[in-house]
Amino acid sequence: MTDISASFETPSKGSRLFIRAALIGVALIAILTLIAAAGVRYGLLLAIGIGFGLTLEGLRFGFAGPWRAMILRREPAGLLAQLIAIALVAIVAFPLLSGDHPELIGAHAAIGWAMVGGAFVFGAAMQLVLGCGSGTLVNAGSGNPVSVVALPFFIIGAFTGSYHLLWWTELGQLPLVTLQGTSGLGITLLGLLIVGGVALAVAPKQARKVPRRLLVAALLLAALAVANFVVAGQPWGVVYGLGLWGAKVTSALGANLSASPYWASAAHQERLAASLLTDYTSLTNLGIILGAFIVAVWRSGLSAKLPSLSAKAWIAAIVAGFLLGYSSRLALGCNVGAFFSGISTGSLHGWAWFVAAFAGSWVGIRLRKPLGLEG
Amino acid sequence: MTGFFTSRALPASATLLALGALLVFDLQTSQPLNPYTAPAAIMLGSDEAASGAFCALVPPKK
Repeated sequence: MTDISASFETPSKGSRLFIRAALIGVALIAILTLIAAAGVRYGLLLAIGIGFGLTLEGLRFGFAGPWRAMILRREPAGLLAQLIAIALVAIVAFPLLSGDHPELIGAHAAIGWAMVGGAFVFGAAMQLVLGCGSGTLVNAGSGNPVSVVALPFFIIGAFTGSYHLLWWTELGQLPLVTLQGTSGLGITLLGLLIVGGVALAVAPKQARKVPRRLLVAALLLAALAVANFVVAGQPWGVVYGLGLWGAKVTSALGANLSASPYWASAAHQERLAASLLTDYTSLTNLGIILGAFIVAVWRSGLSAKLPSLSAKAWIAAIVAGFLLGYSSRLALGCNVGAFFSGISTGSLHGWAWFVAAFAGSWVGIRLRKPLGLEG
Repeated sequence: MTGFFTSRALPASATLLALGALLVFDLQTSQPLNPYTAPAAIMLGSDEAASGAFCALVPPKK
């Protein structure tokens, strides 16, 4: 019997070459099969998702980690890279949304009590599992056991949160505010500049540089996010797809989702009936996991030993996973759908999400030690 | 196989297996895929309406 892990641990030069060729082959076959079975658009979105996964894992670009570095050590590099990527997407997305393109839609949502509270809880939970919306997918694909345990509960939470979403939004929300056109783009870029400037101002001198790796990652992520926007007609998101996975399983097991005004709506009924392989967010999510797995195998990263964590830590990961899912639906997006895509397509809720989630992160970082998630 | 069970290979493989199972389950319970009714390759420039099935969408109250 072949020892799978042994092939990851001590691959010879020849077998390493074979493994890498096989990884590329598997990705290409998956994309081409989907194109043949469902259509070009779906194959392209899977390819874009794999690109996200390769970039996020390959260049170690994240959201939770850089926020932690900023809060604990005032190291702004990762946060600055996020802001650069958002600015680059905004420069393309704003003119497209202001033009004659009714087929395109931004990640626009209203600020409300539940939205702000959800973002705060999400920020705290993402520091507990050290993974955000995209980060949990990347970490699961690369074999991080905490994320693998958290992911199913993330899915259950996203489904449950969306099931209750309209009850939460009825608690009160402001009218929808979106920044549009050249002036909207100017305000957005100025806002990003101010946040970046503050992050640089409070940073120690030696930390005021963004490594080339993160700049390349920001550029690639921006290009992929624009590609996602152009191909799907909607911005990059994560948690909608996870909620849909939960809804599909629940529905197929016989549950009636018509009691939920959210899942009973026409758009979601259509998604429930269609295959996940034709759902844009699901495809990029699947691609992210596959891309991260490819990088992990490519680097022989799967040979890393599993950590020994206490029962309390595993329970914390499960609870945090559920909270990540539930709160991100209330927040009308996670770090990707609300922060990254919201701000880059002119939604004011993206900025509110950023402030609330950053405050939540501050709390979450301080909860890690008492919950046994740090030695 | 001891190394497999004590390394990241185990959770990574479990993730891929679970996703594979989800897709098989989905293909058996959803509308069949049909490449001949597929939309245009790229949404930009097509005559389609935005689907609205994404994170920020809140369906209207009835």
